[in-house]
Amino acid sequence: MKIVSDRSLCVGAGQCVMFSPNLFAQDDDDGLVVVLVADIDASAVEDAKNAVRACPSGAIKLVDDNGEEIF
Amino acid sequence: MAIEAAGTAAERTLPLFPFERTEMGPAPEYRELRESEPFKKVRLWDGNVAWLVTRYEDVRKLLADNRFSANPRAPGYPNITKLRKVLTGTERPSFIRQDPPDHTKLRRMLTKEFTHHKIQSLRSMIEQIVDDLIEDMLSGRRPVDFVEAFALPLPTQVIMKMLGIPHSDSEFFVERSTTKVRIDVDPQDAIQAGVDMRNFMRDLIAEKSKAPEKHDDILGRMIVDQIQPGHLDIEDAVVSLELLMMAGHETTANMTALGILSLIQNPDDMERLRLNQSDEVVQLAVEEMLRYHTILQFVGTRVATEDVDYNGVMIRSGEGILPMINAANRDPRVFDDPEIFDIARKSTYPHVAFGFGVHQCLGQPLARLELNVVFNKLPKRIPQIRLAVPFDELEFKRNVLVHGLISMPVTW
Repeated sequence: MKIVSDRSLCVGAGQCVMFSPNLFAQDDDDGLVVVLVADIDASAVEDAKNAVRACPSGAIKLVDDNGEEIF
Repeated sequence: MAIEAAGTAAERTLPLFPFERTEMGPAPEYRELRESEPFKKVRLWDGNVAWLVTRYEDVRKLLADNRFSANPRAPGYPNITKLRKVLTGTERPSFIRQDPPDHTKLRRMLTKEFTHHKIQSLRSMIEQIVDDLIEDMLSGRRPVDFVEAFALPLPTQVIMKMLGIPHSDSEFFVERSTTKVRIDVDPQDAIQAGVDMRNFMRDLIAEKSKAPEKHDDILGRMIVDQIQPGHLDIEDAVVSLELLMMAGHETTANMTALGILSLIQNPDDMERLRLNQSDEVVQLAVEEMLRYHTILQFVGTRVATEDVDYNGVMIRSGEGILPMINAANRDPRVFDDPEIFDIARKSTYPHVAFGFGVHQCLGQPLARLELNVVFNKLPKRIPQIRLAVPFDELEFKRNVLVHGLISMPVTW
């Protein structure tokens, strides 16, 4: 499973960092999303889902190995 | 034709919005509407009709949908009061009243100043201010107005330090900001308050532009990185600074006073925070205060820029929507026993007290840090804090844009 982000949609609200600091950071130069761990295993899925739920602008999602959006 | 007579006969029978809120909660009408009519047409003061939206899921989806505009000058935009209409019709809009891509460009000039990393670096500065204010209260006379002695000076001092505005000007800003967010003042007074604040910011930019690199603050960096290279118009900078100043202190001040009031009313919670040694306990408590009080009453008003079929509800282009975050935050579909204040509450979906969509609060890491420092320290330092007047005599702001307490006499 993979986390993908779209910086063009990101508004730098930092929800991903707040909910899942192990998976996400914010770029110091513009505050936009940085994915720290793109390929995640089962143990990190709940963490990643919390970030996706909290993101206000739809800038992050989870995809399967074929690139299909799953969350 | 008189403005009151606008609309069809059927529209004139629609309920008049806004409804009256209570001291500690949103309008009771939301509870029933959420179940029976989650999309309810309501009538505004000027006869304009808009969709009142009260369920969490709908509120989030609509706030994240860019087919709805936040621009008050867009045709059909629902103005909550006459004063808001006059204000937004005369003032240059800040980025919270603009849509992408203009919004995005202006907001992104500030996002680096409010990242988690950046805000956490302010922790010791905020702790120092909190410690000093607590010392002043403890050594001062009792009873004391908690709003004036603590809740208001804390975020005011913090945001002024961050922006680079001299501390001596705090009274000037607090007075004008308070006037501008009221809904019961003469529109001319509110307009003048905005003009005063913007004039001040314009002069400060001119002053700091002489040697901007000397100023290690948001304004100094804004001048060097954005204004001088020509990325940012000075008038847009003026408006953004006024927004940061106002949003930076009004909100946290009100949350701090209401948060302490909640703890005074729930002594077991005060005790839990007094004994607490874990950051997580305070974090959960702060999130519950944010959810329960949801102080921003009317943010999120939007207007459809095209016909939107939302799950069978046809919202026509030019129709306004009122997705109420304070109604969403009491939706039992998401929050168990939503009317209960529970500082240990955990929910799968987060509250929307900071809004949702591209306009979600930029300063939320700052607000959260300030509140976490306050609710770490105050219950430990002044655990016996209590009201010095009966609850019924407290003065609440009620239908001001930002709910809170006008004053709160306390003793210990």
